Amino acid sequence: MEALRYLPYLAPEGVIVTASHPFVNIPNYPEESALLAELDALPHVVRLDIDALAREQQLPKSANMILLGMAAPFLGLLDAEQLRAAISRVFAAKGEAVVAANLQAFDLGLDHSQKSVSK
Amino acid sequence: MSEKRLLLGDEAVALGALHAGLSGVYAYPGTPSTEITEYIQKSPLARERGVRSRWCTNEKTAMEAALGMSYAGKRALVCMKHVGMNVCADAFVNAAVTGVKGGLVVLAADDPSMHSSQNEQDSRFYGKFAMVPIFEPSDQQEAYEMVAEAFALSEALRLPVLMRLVTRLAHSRAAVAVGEAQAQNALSPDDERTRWVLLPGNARRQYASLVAKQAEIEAAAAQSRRNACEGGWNDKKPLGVIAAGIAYNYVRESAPAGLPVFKLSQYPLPAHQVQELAAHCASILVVEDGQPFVEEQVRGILDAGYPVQGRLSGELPRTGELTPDCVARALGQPGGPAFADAHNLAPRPPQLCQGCGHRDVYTALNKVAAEYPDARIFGDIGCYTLGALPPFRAIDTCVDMGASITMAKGAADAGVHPAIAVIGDSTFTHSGMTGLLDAVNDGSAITVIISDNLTTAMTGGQDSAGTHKYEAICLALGVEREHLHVVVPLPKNMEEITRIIREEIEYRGVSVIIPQRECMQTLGRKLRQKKAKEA
Repeated sequence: MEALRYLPYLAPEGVIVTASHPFVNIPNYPEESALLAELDALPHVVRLDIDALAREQQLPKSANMILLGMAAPFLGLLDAEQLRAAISRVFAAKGEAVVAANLQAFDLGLDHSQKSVSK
Repeated sequence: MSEKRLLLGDEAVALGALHAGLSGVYAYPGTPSTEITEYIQKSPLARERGVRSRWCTNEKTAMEAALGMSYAGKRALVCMKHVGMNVCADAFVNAAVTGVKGGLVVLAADDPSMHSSQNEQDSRFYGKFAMVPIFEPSDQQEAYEMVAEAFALSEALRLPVLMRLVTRLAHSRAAVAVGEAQAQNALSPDDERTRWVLLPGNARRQYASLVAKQAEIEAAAAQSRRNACEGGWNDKKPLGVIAAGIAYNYVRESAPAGLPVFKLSQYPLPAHQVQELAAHCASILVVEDGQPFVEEQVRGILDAGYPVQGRLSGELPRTGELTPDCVARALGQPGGPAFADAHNLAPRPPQLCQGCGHRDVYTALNKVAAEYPDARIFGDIGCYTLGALPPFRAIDTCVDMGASITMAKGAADAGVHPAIAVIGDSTFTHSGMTGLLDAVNDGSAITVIISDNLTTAMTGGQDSAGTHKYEAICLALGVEREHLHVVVPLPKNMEEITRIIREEIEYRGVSVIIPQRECMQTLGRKLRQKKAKEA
């Protein structure tokens, strides 16, 4: 829903990159199928249930990193390699395992976007 | 200027102050100013130099302490959000009458669109009211550089200088080229009693001197390189723009080529430049974030018939913060959103964290209040203000810091019963203690709930001034021992807490109940820090 909230800020050729599982913490959250339908009607959308994927791949805290990977092809400011280098640097203090998990999550997201774009 | 750093506007001010030889920062947490003091508190340079930076109890104590440091010859910074100016106004206005010794910079971070405030008052009016210079940087680089200029001007004029930020500048990051730190001032307390003791005889003379200084202050603004005339000011153009502070960036983003712009970052508003702009343009658009401070003055400077556009005339919205879009529209630029608002939306208001002690307080309170249809619950400012929203819908009023207790007293005086006040621990020391004293002295029938989460939570978990002292404070103010209770807000204590609330409502005097349980966020942070240290 938050992706839709910021729709007026989207450029005509802009891309929406979003998690698809709703975060329901209010009583009047919109009906899920209506929400997804409105999202899918927009021209450039890449969505994925990042929470499910993170759980599946045993990367429980890295769901948002999957999202960053998904967004990487569209950012225009930094390429995937620069982002990977930054991830390594930012998480270095937390140890190799954490860096590896985040890079893995990033690559999963990147992969998903690249496959979606080529469709 | 060699090193470049990525800094928030707030951080740029903080570093600018440290580099300008700051000796003390005095502040109360308040969005969007909080990060200034936090930066200084965490700064190795500040620690090395012994810069004082402990949070103050409120903005008034902060302003006065800063004035004391200035009196002693050293440089001090006071930081607050816009409504904080209301709290320190007495000290601020009178600091301009006594004048200062060591440089004194007052930093007000305004909140247009009141994202987290009760109003969007414009601090620049305070600068004009006190008759002191006002600095309004247009970006983070200026914020950094202008702090040193503000301290220098403060010492040259012997006046406090007000610097104003808005949320978008305070809370956004940009690359800032930073310089070296200069030394702090030496200790040199002032000894001109006739300046500092504001008995009417002295005050009249000081005030006359303040009035006489206005010419010098105006000249400083007129010659300031922070005010600049851009675009062609030679030929007759249909439109000229005055862009104040951050508005300058919005104007540059969509200004057509050759648009005459007067970039305004130092006040008082230089009348001469306004008249010159008007001479070269058929109309003037004033672009400023906040209230029509400049626009009103421009109308006063120019002839009645001259077309001035802005927030008062409708070209820009009268309320709410400026955006690049509304400024572009005012400049006649095409464009706007490519996509209309979505349909499948619902508001997602902030909520109290799961497990927060305030939740248990409201659960108990609501249970008891349901038995008293005439009950009124006077709320206050902090995380617990969220008790106004679903699922609790617990409070009836929330006006300003400390108003819970005093409004409860006034309402009780009028006959409201039960009159219940809900106030947080930081808010209580900020401005609740004096109200409680009033209630005790007058024997008012109010029930005060001090919901103590051992922190100043809403602004990010800063230290709270009175932690572990509330019982003692209440007793010292005269609250009767039998009517003062400390409880732990947890579901298992619901029966005890509701019983106490009921009993104290029935007591027709001052009762204080202190539900005490640490904030989940600060507790979590402490545990994480402890774990990291042990690792």
